[in-house]
Amino acid sequence: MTRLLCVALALGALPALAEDKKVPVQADVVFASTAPGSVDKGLEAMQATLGKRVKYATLKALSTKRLELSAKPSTVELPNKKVAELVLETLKNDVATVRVKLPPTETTYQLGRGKSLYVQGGSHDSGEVWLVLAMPK
Amino acid sequence: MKNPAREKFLPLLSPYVDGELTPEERQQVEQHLANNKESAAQVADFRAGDALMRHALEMQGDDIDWKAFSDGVMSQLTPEKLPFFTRLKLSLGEMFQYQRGPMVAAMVGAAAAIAIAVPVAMKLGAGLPAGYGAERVEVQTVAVDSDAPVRPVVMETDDGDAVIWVVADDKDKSPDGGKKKKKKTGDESSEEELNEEPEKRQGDL
Repeated sequence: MTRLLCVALALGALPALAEDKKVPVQADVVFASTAPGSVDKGLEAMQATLGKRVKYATLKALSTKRLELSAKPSTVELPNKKVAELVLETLKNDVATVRVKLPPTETTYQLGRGKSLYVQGGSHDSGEVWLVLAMPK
Repeated sequence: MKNPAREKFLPLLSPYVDGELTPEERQQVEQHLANNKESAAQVADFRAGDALMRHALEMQGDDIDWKAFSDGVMSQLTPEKLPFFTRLKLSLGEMFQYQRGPMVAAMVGAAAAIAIAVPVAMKLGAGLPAGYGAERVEVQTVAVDSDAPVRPVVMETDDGDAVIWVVADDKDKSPDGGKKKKKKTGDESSEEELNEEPEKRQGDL
């Protein structure tokens, strides 16, 4: 009887374990403008990356959020009233695939170790906002 | 005819042969033996008898299996078992006393192994969150709403980062009436559909 109970509990716990997959992501919201200004500390790499096409003179970190991505959507609010929605689609061989919905775009991508995904999030004030998704530090 | 000196030393002859006399007595007996042949002959008889008896006992002892006897005795002995920490302390004490060099070398080696293994394990395992097994970010699909007058442009950098630009779409919209979907493959270039000037793109959305 006890053995049956243990097996039942173990079987019952399996779906819970499967649903328990979570992947941490750091979501930064950054204001960017080509107007003269300053670049916040820690955003020099972003300036260099985006600078291959746009020379942003102003980069200002607006918010930082650590998300635990799962099958349930996680959200990040942008200052221009847009809301980004992130969902963990798969986690295979320690490689996570994430879907990012930031209207009007919807992106599916694989996370990279220590790497970042920059998603243009629309205009804001006299510049733009960017959503930067990276491995938590 | 009785010899008074012999009468006096007679009880000491056997102890003399057995080595039980004091040095002073022994010296007196030896002086007596030098002057009394009868006592000297008796001492010689004692020694011969002792040798004969010893030889007979040795021969008898050789015929006996003493191993069984010693095993029997040892089996009845139950050594007292010391407490664990006492035994450990004794063992370590003996090891450090008699094998100091190898013990110190082993401890230094173990400390070095720990010093190397812990940071490596932290870097490889504990420090890396789940889901980051890939070397670089890889964009798989990018779609935009069909009613949005924009199109996505994907840029993957040499460093392993990726950028999703959204630029004004001056081309015809996709005929499917739904989302415009862009599927990236490994054969595509690292940058796609980025033809506009930066200043023009800023504020497109």
